Amino acid sequence: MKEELENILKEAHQLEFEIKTLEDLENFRIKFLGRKGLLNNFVEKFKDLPREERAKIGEYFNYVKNEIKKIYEDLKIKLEKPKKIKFDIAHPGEKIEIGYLNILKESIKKIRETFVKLGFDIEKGREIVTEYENFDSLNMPKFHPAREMFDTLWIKNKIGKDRYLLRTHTSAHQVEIIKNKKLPLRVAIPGKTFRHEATDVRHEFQFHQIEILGIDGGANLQELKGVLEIVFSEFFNKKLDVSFKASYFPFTEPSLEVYIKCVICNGKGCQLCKNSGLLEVGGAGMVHPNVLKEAGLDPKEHYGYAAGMGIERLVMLKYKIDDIRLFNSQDLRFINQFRL
Amino acid sequence: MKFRIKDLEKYLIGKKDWKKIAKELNDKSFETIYDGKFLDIDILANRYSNSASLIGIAREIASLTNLKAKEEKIKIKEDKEKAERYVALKIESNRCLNYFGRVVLNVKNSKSPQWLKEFLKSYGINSINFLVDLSNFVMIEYGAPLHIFDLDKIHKNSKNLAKIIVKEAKEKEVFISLKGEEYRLPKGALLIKDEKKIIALAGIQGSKTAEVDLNTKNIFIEAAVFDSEIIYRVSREINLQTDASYRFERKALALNQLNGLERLTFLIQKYCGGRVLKGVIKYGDIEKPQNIVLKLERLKEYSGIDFNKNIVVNILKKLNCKILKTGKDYIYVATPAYRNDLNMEEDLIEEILRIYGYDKIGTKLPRLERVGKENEIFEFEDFIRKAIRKTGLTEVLSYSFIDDNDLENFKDLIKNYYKELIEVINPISLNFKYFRPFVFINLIKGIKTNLGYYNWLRKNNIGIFEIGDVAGINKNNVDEKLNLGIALTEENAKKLLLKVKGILNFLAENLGFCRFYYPYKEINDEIFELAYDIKLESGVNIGFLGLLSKKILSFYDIEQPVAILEINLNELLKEYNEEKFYQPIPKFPAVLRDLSIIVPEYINSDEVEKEMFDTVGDLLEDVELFDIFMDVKEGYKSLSYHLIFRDPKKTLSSEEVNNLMEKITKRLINKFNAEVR
Repeated sequence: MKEELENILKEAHQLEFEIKTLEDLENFRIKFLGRKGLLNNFVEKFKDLPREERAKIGEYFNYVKNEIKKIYEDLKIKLEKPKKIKFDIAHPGEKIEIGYLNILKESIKKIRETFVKLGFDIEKGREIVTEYENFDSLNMPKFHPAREMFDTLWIKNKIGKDRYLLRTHTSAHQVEIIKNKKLPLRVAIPGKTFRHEATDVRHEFQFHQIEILGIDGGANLQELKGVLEIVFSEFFNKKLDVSFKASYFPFTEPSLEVYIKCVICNGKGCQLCKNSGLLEVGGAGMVHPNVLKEAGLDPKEHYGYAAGMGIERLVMLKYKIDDIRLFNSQDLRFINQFRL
Repeated sequence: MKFRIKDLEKYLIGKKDWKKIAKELNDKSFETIYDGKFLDIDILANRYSNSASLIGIAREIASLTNLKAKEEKIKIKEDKEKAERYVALKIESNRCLNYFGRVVLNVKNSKSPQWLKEFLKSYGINSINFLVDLSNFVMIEYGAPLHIFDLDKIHKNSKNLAKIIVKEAKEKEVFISLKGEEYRLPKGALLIKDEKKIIALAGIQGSKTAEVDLNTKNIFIEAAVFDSEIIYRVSREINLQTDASYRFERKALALNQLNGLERLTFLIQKYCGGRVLKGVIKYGDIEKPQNIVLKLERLKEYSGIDFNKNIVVNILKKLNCKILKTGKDYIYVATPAYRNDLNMEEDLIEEILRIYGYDKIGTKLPRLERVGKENEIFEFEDFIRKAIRKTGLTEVLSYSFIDDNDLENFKDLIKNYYKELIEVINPISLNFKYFRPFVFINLIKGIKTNLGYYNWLRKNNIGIFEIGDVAGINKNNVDEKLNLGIALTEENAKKLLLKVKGILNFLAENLGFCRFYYPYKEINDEIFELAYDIKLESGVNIGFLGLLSKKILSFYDIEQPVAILEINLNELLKEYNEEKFYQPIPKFPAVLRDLSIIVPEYINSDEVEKEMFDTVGDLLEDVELFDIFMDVKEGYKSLSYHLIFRDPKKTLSSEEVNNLMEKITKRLINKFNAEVR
């Protein structure tokens, strides 16, 4: 019986080399593997054998069958011409829909990262603060005309003894930070701030600031300038010199306005910078002795700097965005543009 | 404030290059714009009292250039008769700091000459009559807000003596302004009175009752200093702000007032004639020079510049400071009396640095022996933002306020979380009346707008999220926290809910939590068609999710289902453990079995799954619900699970798995009255 199988396999091997066309191959298949082919015929013969013998032959049968199948499959691949997929690359691709991160939040993140590299801690404040935190602690007692610089949104609710408001600047956290942190300190506080202000393309009543505070360890105007230069240069991806101009804030002395070279005209003078070649990007100064005292420090022994800058304006300059209200619009046509 | 060049010329000696002067002023003092005829100078608030005048600006220019400031000579011809014979002062409030006055009799008032009218016009002041105009001229020249009373309209006693009384207003006193308008005054407003009536609201405006007119013959000139705070408060409370109140709010200088008084008296005598009575009526002290020690070491600490002492001394002299004494490491300085803004060492440092030039300050970087660290909430926020963005949602920013309609729509939800909402007294508009209690409310509006923008694209699945502060009042305190809000929409409500569930699963996976749990939220069904709380395994509630009701959708004018989700990140952060450890890749194969059971509809799959884990412990690696079939019979549903078994120490035999399966089914039958299919 086994011999018969051996012969079938031998024959298959011989025929293998004579097959040239798909038609030859089909004949080959019918002859060996077809319903009435040699192998099926053989099965009829050995199914009546005693059990033990049947198992033995069965094993060999399977081997032969697989060998022949393999010949068939291999030849089939060889003889069949490969079919090419028909495709026109002009076809529109699948629309990949993903979400995007917000340009403003990512900009704040980038600024935060620069500050961390410079050794600053990043702290989170609160958007609702007391009148004391926002004004009195910063050398702006009640009825101080400087409060006029900050059109304030006041809170109606009666909460304890303090009057509450929506912080008009991130400076509201200065005294608290100085009280709670070890000296020397370097801290940046990003966050939302609010002003009672009519909105237009350049004004928004809700916007973001970042507060910068350095106390002791050589925290002077030189360092402030150095830090700001790095922060602005990193943000705009180009070297930007910082310059200071005299200013007045009740909570700093000296008080400064911070300027960078106009990023639109590179300092040559344009409409945006009113031909000055400079752009105002924030307020700064040395922390006023009264603020240090308020935080429990002796101004004779300690000194430091503080600065604050608006973030929307920086982002608008960098990406040439002409309407500040877009940031709070939730308009995906705006947000998705930046592919963040 | 805009100054005419032709006026400033008169107060400066030397050759003037106005372009250069404007640049110096702009760089070192105040923002200045020069247009050929005017200097438009934005005088800083703390310098207003000594700089918002022709003389003030001339002094400032002199301190920056080689020019010298000069003042016109004042020569008054005084009568022998004393002013005190006609006017007596009675100061009854300590909010009146100085009060000076002069009496001039027999003046001749008239319309102003052309030069004076033009002068005032260029400073934005209307011409009234010669006397009043001269007083406004001196206000511009000296920065001194003065006032002239018609002495004949002031009540006099039998000895022909006018008593000028300065006192605080009682409740509900009425002031009649120059225009004849009546103002009800707040208590404590500072008044100038005679013995019968109010003749001026101190520092704000004179009253019609003692107004100077073309027939005025005898006058009393007032030069006073009132507490800036009371002027600030009263002028705002009654909404009457004037050139004078603007100046008094920024602190008037007694010195300026006194000089201005003399100058005005001189000008009145020169142009309107009259007898100037002898002497100035005086109350209060004038400013004196301040003596301040400037330590060079402090100057260096602040600026990083090692100053040569002579340079510092020269700058101080330019500022009209007197050098009282110098030592090796200090300069002892007397400030000019008119510089009331110079009170301490730091003030002098500012003066020196700005005049020396801030551009000469170099740069350095912090040198602390440590690295910067972010508050962990920032890192966590970034982590969540990135995870949510990966689920296909876009990060938006929205306004932090809601309006009355929003409050009404969600009040049953809000009261579960806050005792009351935070309300703004003076909102920008009624749309921004309350501080937002949740992020999601404004995101619904974002969904609406974006559906509008994209409807031409027939794109109707939109998902947005925002992380930001929300707040309300709890326990008589501001309860401000950081929330994640999500809103998404698509046509099919079931798909939408599955998407929300998918986002939450993804978030849980990213955070390294096994899963979130979703107990059904009992809430007003006018808000949500369906709502669930979101809980952690520990039982901590971190937020909720819901499918907005038809009523809410129709209010916000949205025609397809919207799901929302709100999670408190502060709570979530507390439960989050950032540490991630490597888990060995399993060595032995897992065995997968399926199980379908029929349970009453109210049974939550979470409970079923928990029961399975509790029954066989660690050998059950994972359970995955792959099919829910509702209404398999009245009140029952069918749940189908893939169960994955694995023993980390050996290959599980099918017999062992059979045993485990049997245990589980028995337990489910007992516990949930389940029927195995």
